[in-house]
Amino acid sequence: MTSYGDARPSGCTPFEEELMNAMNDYANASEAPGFDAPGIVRRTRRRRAVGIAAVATALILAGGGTALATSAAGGSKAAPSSSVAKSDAATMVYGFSDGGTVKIDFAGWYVGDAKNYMLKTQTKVGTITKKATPRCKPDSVIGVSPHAPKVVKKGDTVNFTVCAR
Amino acid sequence: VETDFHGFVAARSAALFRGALVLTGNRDAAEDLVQETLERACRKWRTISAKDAPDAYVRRIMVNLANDRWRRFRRTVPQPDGPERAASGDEYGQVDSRDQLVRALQQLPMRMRTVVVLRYFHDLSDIEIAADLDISPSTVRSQLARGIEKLRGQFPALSGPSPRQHTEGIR
Repeated sequence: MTSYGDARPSGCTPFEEELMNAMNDYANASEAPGFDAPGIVRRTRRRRAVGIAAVATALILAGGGTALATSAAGGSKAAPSSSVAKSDAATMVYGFSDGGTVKIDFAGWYVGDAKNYMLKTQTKVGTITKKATPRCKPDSVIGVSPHAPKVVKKGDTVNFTVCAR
Repeated sequence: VETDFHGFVAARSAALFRGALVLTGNRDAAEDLVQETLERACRKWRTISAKDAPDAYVRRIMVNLANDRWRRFRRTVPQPDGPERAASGDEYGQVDSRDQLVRALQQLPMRMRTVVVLRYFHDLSDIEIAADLDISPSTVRSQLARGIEKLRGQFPALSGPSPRQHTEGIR
């Protein structure tokens, strides 16, 4: 067996043995530092929550901007997303594997944005039902199922009810 | 699941650190590398803990992270002067040869060094190394051969038979 074949380096050349000894000596000369596992878990959890919150905020701001633009262009006939009553019916509670949860209020979101967001949470989009509702923006989300207080986890399917044109 | 991760860190972080130290040649860099590796592992812990060999999976994260990090690192920071001194002939014989060998190892390109470390420190086969680095076994073999030749060229006294004789012997 040699260093060039597919076998392990047992029975290798003196040079290879010396290389192995050198690496082992070097590695064993330093004492390993302690790694703070609870700290790592806390940081990971915090980053995950901050990431989701940031995406949610960005999407909400984008939704608000779109509503403003529609309002400016369409005058009085525009139906701003904020007019949709915010209730638990359109709020999804997402549960992390570590037990933490975050509420995402989809009320007034454009359904396409909501679907993109679902990809990030690794949940599946189920049926999208259109419902004629007064004073809502077409294709904006007016309900999700399951909704709060039920918790949705990665891989679950979520159905949407959107405002009909 | 969380307790499981804590147990893994307690049991395996020292071994990971030793591997990182040989790979980077720098204690601070090794510590950062292991810290980042454990953070990534924590994010995917549910998947990793379900695998047959979580250890191997985490090591794979670490070596790939080291390769990625090295590319970023090399763009912004000049290489440390330590390894360059190892190549100078006039110091040969004055410094411990094993120390020089480790310094010379740090001079190898990162991918080549990773292959050498995985083979001779982690004792992996070509196929295992290929799977870890997502390259072909033949690439592993060529990187390994070139890496050893480069190192051997700097330490003729340790080499024994010439590289040519060695290569011919195995064909």
